[in-house]
Amino acid sequence: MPSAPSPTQSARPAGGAITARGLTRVYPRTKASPEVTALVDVDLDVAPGEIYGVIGRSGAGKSTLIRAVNGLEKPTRGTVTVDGVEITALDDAGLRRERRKIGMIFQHFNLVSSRTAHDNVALPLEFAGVDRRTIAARVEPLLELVGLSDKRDRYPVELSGGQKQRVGIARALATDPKVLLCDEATSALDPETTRSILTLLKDVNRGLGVTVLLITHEMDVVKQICDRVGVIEAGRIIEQGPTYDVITRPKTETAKSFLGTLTGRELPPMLAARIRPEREGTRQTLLRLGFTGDTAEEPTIARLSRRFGADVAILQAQVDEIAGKPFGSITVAIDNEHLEDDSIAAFLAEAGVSVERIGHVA
Amino acid sequence: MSPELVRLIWAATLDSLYMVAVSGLIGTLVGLPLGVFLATSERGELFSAPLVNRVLGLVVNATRSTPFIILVVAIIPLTRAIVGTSIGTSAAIVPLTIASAPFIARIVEAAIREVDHGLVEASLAMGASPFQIVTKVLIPEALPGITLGLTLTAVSLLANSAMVGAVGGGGLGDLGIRYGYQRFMPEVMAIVVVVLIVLVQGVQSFGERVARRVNKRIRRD
Ligand SMILES: Nc1ncnc2c1ncn2[C@@H]1O[C@H](COP(=O)(O)OP(=O)(O)O)[C@@H](O)[C@H]1O
Ligand SMILES: [Mg+2]
Repeated sequence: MPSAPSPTQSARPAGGAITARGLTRVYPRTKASPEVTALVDVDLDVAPGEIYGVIGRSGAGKSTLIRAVNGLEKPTRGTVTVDGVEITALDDAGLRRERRKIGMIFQHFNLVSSRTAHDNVALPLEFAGVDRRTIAARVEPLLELVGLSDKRDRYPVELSGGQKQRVGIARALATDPKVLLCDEATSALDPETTRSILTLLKDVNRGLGVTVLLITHEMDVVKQICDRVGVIEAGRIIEQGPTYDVITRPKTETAKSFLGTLTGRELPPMLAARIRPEREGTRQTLLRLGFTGDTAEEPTIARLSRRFGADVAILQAQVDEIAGKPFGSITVAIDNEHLEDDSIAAFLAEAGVSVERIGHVA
Repeated sequence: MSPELVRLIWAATLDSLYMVAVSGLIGTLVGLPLGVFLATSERGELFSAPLVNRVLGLVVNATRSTPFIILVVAIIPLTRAIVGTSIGTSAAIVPLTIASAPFIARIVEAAIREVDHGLVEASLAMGASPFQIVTKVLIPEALPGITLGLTLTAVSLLANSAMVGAVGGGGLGDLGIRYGYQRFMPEVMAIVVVVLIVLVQGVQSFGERVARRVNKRIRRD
């Protein structure tokens, strides 16, 4: 693994695997709400030193899952193991000890407003009973790492959202954890600040060897920094794997439709309303073509058009960067007659282009 | 104004301040932890003890709904057991304290409940113990509210301390009743009122100043 030099410590052998087995969480019925099953039999394997993202809609169970990892949430069934320690089997004292090895940052930062940036970063060390001199020696380099040395004596109210999250990250790293949990850490930030925070998280991950588990509803977060991703829907991880593969070639229908809405691959509503599933009585077929890696740069559509003498109407096109690799997605309409045999399909397969039949239009 | 009268008013003012200070201090020593407990002991909270929470809440409410003058009379046996007498300045401290502790407790409870629950979560995630969360996060974060509440308490203690004059406690209220009312010296009554107003104003603006100073949630440039 590449390791950037860090001001606080040298990269160490990666630790901090996270494993969940059969994780289930049922919130019992209350006067105000019915019983909710937030997690169903979730298995999760996060490898030491990787950035693993869990993406899903609001209410899918993301927070419940990440909070089970440091024991803030007690699962109804199942186990969680972090860096070899079974979190779900610990008593309160044991849990406090292990939590020092698991940093966490939050959507709304959760900084203590009566403490300066410096004193917020010092807080977990005070909790751990570390002496003043050690605290001072530890906090300064952390503030430097997150680029806030000049804000050490500022109170949270005097900091921007991005700066607050930087303090949050420094604070989460204060006790030198092996694992960093991020609960929608960039969801309250604008796109540009989001990018800078994600870059910082990646530096932390690569430079310090900290395993990162993040949850988000934003595809951009996953695309920018996650090595692997799991898609969560209604309390289940419905698909997981390397980020590029899951996003460009989702296997399940649920993941397809969910990721489609997130990647902007869904069609304009005007067009979508005209699509019919059956071919009878229609003139054209809509195909979604996916170009991965090298194929993204080939003039495949022009060649197809020439070779088969087919008019190809491009309805929507977009090129993305996912996990550092280009991914193009083009939605086209082709007259039905050209699709009578498999020659176009064969041509596209040959060219390394994935094809998804969306439907037909008159 | 005769020097004699000045001396009387000065002594009565000191008596009042003494009563307020001592009962306020003891009231805080009892009320602060009580308030913290009330704010953190419902089901699922840091010191989850729903039953104890309910019982203490009832006791606090009962004390708070008892009119002060009735409380003074009702606890005379207790006062006598603690101080040795039921009249005088020191004796007045007992009912004043018993009235102020639950008052402070409710104020502290309200201030602590105002603290963003996310901070408790974050602290737990950092490996804090419940006690550490109280001392290092909840109380510092609630301090502006607590300070204003203690100011309010001091003002109401001043008012109550004037009332104990009626049952033989010392202080400004006692002076006002004995001289201003019974000996019909309206100028004494007027001076007592003026001194009380000045004291209340002083306490209030001091309290507000401190509250503003400990409040880091407001931006100042
Ligand atoms: N403390 C709770 N009590 C009852 N239901 C809850 C609680 N926390 C979450 N839920 C429910 O569990 C489901 C998953 O919630 P959550 O994990 O917060 O989802 P996400 O973070 O993906 O938005 C939701 O239906 C939510 O309403
Ligand atoms: Mg959530």
